[in-house]
Amino acid sequence: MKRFTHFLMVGALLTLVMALVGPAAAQDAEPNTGGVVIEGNIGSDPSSFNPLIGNDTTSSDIYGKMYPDIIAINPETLRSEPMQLGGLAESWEYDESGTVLTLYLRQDLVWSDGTPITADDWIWAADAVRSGETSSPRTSAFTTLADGTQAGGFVDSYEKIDDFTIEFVLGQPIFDDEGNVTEITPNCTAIDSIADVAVVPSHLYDAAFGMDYAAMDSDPFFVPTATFGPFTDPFFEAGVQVSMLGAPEYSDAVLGYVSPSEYVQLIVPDTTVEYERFLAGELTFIGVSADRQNDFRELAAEEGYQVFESPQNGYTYVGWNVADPANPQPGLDENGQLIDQGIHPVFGDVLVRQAMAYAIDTTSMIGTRPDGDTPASGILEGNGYQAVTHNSGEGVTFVDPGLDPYPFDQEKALEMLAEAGWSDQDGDGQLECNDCLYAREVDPDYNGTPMSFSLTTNAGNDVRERVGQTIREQLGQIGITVEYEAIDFGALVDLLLSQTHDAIIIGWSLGLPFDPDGRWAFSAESDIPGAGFAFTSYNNEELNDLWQEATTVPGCDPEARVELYQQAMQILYEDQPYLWLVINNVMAAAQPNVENWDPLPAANLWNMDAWRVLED
Amino acid sequence: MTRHIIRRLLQAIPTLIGVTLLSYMIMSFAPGGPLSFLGIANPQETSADVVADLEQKFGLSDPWYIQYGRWLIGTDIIFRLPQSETAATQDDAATTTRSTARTSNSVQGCSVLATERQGILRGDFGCSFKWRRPVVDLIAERLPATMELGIATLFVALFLGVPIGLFAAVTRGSLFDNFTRVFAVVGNAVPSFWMGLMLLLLFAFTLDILPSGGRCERMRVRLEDGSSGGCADVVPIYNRLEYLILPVFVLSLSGIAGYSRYMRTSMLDTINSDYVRTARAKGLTSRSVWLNHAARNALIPLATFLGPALVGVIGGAAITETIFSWPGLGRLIVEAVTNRDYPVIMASVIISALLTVIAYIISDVLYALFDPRIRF
Repeated sequence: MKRFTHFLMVGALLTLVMALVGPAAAQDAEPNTGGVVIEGNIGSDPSSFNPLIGNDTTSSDIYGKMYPDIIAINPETLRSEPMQLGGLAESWEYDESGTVLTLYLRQDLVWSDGTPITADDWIWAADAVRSGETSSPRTSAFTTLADGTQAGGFVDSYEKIDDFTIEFVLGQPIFDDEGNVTEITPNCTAIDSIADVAVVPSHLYDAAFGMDYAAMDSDPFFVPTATFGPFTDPFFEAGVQVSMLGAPEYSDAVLGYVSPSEYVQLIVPDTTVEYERFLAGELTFIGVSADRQNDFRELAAEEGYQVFESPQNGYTYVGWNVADPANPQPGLDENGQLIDQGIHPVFGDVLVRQAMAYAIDTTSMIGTRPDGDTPASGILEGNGYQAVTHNSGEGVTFVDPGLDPYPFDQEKALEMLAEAGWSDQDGDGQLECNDCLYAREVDPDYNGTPMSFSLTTNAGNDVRERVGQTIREQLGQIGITVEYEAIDFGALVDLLLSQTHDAIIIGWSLGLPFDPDGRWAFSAESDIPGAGFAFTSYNNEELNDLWQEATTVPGCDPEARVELYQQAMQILYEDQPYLWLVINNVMAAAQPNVENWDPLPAANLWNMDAWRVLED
Repeated sequence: MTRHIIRRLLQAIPTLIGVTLLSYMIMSFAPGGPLSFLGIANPQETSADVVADLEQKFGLSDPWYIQYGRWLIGTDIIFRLPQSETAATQDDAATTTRSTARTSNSVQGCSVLATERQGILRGDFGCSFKWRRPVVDLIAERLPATMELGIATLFVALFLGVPIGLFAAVTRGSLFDNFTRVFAVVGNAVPSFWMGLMLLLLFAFTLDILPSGGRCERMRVRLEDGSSGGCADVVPIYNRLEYLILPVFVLSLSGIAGYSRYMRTSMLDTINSDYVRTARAKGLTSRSVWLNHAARNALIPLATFLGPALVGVIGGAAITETIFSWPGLGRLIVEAVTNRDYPVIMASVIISALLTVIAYIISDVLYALFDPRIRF
């Protein structure tokens, strides 16, 4: 009897618990009950909610949450793949030529007003961008615009086969003298251009703008009444916040429903205040800057903050100008033939560039983290990785060049410089040209000229400024004069594009999906004073062939492509058009009360729609 | 007086044109441009062709004087383009159709295309390259926050600085006088960004008794028209005064220090003048002499400062606004300069120039008010 009473009591207690907890658990699983996600925005207000014309990070952070991609990136592999959440692509196939792609779309997706998402939705957007009537920067997805103007991209044409099938002709275009595309050759990265153009609800965009695509520029904050994304209905309070509401009907959420009720970008222009507001619990998550990472790591262990660290998708480097800075010339003439660009008095010689890699101690710039009583050292205090060549950090790149960084060895550097014709003949501690390459090939009177050059970076970036000072000091130790200057960023960009510089410290943030093709930075075709980003004027025929080969591998076999890219990286490593410095350590942190926070390298926010911000 | 004001306003016209012309020229020749950051931020996807195309569409590929002309009188006049009579009707129809397809929260933007420009002389301040919104809207929505902060700061600075200066003068050499001297040095010497951060750390993050920034609590509320609003739309200023305390303290510190020292000097000069000695000789009490005779006259030179101080109210305070996340004009203008947002920069130049002219007219008026001997 006693046992029975006990059994009854336990049963009653369990029933009571179930009665109390059950509804709460059921309620928790409902959409938009996961609290408010607040992110600090040290940047600025958005400039557009329209993905077809927007071009800044703040804006894309907003509209990226309202529209699907035609081909989405797998956050784990960081590559474009079919059947991804938020992506329309179900599968695709190339024809035998490798230039005709048939894309099959998922048929289960609808806009929030119930209208199916179809091929028309991408095609309307593509027509609008390709019209050239808007200020969209995404025209670079196409080979030519509607009026035949060259646009520099890979998508040559597209055709709707049925509501859920689109056929593309895409690849590397070959133009005739009149600028017409005469041939398309396969290009393994061309498929990524398709995703540069967003998918928009064509029934609403068409109702709003019709064929008057330029009207989108007059209404950049147009938000249609139906969207497809985890958040919607942005409310924009200038200088204060952008708030978006969780979309209750969004079917492609990680959990099957959107957990947060609201996502907020709160403008906090000062990074110190942003950090303190995170510590005060006012922000849900934050990116911790390199100078605070060591302190925060310790604090997180004590306070229970969630922390995730990964290498940056990009790198910081010194770009050496290898051409004559007094007479900047494009890499190619109008007929596509190489132009003689002259040589830089110092960096025109590959031996000198290699010597720089030995003469500058990158490892000491990265430094070490604090360990017990031993304080942190270096500019990055151990929160960075050695960049060796044009590649992203581990976890982002799929190319492992297997190269070791140049060791810090100033004696070796001096030997190489002597071999290159730079030595201290008069004993004044300063290296001078003694039959250096420039004196041999350009101007014999250059003999005797002290080795000096200007090094420029942008003011306000503490890491780059300190890197510049370190380089000046380290090169000064071996008799090289560096005229170092930190200037306004706009002025630096002008200097860089003008190609009148000697050396510049700057960084590239590489996009997703990661593309190791570096033609935009290391080829004659992108070497255009005033516009191109191959501003070092470095050009290597063998490298160009490898870039070309790697993007035209039959069937785009990944293993074959990786091998070719490894060879390309090897050439860059040897030729040193850049002195690759560091890949920063990216640290993301979230409050202890955030559930389902599961960041991935270069995709920290991939599952934000599953987050739950629990009440304290 | 009226004639004087009208004359000063008329004189301002060539001044304004000269200032804008010079500003546009300097701005155009300065390194960097509105599209400098577009390619460098995303070099893999932004070809040189795209940047060149956008420069042409934004009108940035034209010589600076053409750009200035467009900003001043509009594209159609500069290039003698015919105006379409049906354009307005078509625009109205399109706007009506569009409103049914857009959400109620959509913000009003504008076209950055050069072909759309009407010129400032026809009331078109332009469209921000950076934010794609009418410059007038950008300024108008930041103005209330700027005025709140500026007026509160001026009020505090004057109503503390002036009495402190007067009292320091009449108690010359006292402990209070010495204390105010030290306070003035510190108030002028301490950088506002440092002071702001320290105060935030103490009162907002450590003691948690004052807000950590902003003009109001962050919120999103449904307004009567169905759209959304923020806190400042629904909470009156007297219910959010705590947000003003720290930024006003930081901003008014140098004002209090400056006004108090200036008033002290001015008051000492006045106290030592003949008419004050005469008043004393007539047997008036010290309080009567100081308040009724000396103080009023000591205030006259302050009028010189008040005009520019009022301009400062509108101009905003970029650093303090940044530290306290205050959505004011100062931050907007600094961001515009950083991003080479020519239309916003030019609007701020016009406003500053206009306000400076007005400030000096106000100074003249105040002189006349404080000193009946002054006539224009």
